[in-house]
Amino acid sequence: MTDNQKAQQAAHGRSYQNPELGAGLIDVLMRGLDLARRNLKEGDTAEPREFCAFAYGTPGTFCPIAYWHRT
Amino acid sequence: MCPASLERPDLSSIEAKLADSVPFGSAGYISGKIAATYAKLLSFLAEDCIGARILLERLDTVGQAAQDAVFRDSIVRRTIEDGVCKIAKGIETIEQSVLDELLSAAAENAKTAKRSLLNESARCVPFEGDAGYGYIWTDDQPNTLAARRFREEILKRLPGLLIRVPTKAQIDTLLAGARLAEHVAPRLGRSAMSHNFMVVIGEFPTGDQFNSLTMPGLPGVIFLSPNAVLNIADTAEAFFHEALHLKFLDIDYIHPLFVPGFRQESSPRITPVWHNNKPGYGNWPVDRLLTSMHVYLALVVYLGKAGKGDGQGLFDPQVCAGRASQCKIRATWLFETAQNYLELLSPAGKEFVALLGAELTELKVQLPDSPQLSPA
Repeated sequence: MTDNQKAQQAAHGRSYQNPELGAGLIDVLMRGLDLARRNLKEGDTAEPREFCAFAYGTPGTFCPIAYWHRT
Repeated sequence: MCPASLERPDLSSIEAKLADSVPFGSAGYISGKIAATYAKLLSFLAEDCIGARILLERLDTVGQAAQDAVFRDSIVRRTIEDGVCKIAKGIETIEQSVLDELLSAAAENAKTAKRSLLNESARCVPFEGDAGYGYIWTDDQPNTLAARRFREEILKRLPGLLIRVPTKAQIDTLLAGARLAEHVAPRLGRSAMSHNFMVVIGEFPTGDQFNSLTMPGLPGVIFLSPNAVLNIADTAEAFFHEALHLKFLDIDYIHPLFVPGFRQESSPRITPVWHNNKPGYGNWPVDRLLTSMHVYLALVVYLGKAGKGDGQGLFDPQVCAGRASQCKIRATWLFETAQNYLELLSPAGKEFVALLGAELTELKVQLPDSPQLSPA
């Protein structure tokens, strides 16, 4: 039996707490999904879309991207 | 401002506070809290996900340092987050079989010396030493589930990005850059760069180019363009700069900085005065304002130390002094502007802004009469 199979066997007999995650943490997770979901929704034919507002790029000449045009 | 003003001893004091204070500085504190946060998220998944149960079982058999290492892994973090969003919010983020397989693989790798999954699943080069600055992605043909998923998660957020395999010269520059950043500002450099897990070299095939960026939703991942790894000094600063954004993101996980419901898309937008009349440079949401303020304050320390002799001769003291002054001006402007948006911040967010404001006050650096507002 592999270690993972042993762990799986042990896990089956164990009860787990269902913790309260908190609205703040859920929001952090949702913000991490926002751009991925937006890109998925808008698809390949979307007009130029903002992504720099989501990214933290280096400023000034180091981060001249404001809008990225999908090709 | 004259360069001599940057040699005041309070730079070390500010470096220490930014690097080691609790709750917003210490990498060890933040790392422990990150691990606790993801352990909680795993427990949330456990009822519905056998992979989560297996990983929790495995983590019970290892120490805290090992748990911290498991939860530094960018793909493990992304996978757990996708699982929670799927179960808590009903969003189709990840197939159940993929979730189980990845978390089971993370459990398997928790037994290894490195503890983390992605570096064992893809070609990558580790940063040197024991400081734990993560890896450099060198895989052009990811052939494991974890590696493929990592690439897919990047492209969901940065579609069209061409992920490059760095040359040996680029890798050497990156490794030397990390060493240089640590040499320039040992405490702050280590504290920031330890938030990195994977540096990815990439660029867009057409249109505007970037130097470096960090993306919420890709924890522990820094993107550097080939232009960012041309020389050691610029690479060191880019790595240091983006690592601070990662630190900000990690702080947000453990002490959420914004009020419930805050979103970048619906946030008020701010255009810094140095980006006026530069279409496309401004329109920052409030989270970007905060993380930029944090970075600029840290750069005052970094450039101040680089310019006064800690830079191994790779920095021009006059240039460093001018740029440090500019960063101080910008951090101050961002701090003052942030006062207009405090209602969007949680109590922790207000405390974070107040802490940076106190550090700015402590700098006691006079603003120059003719501030240089060229891009930093």
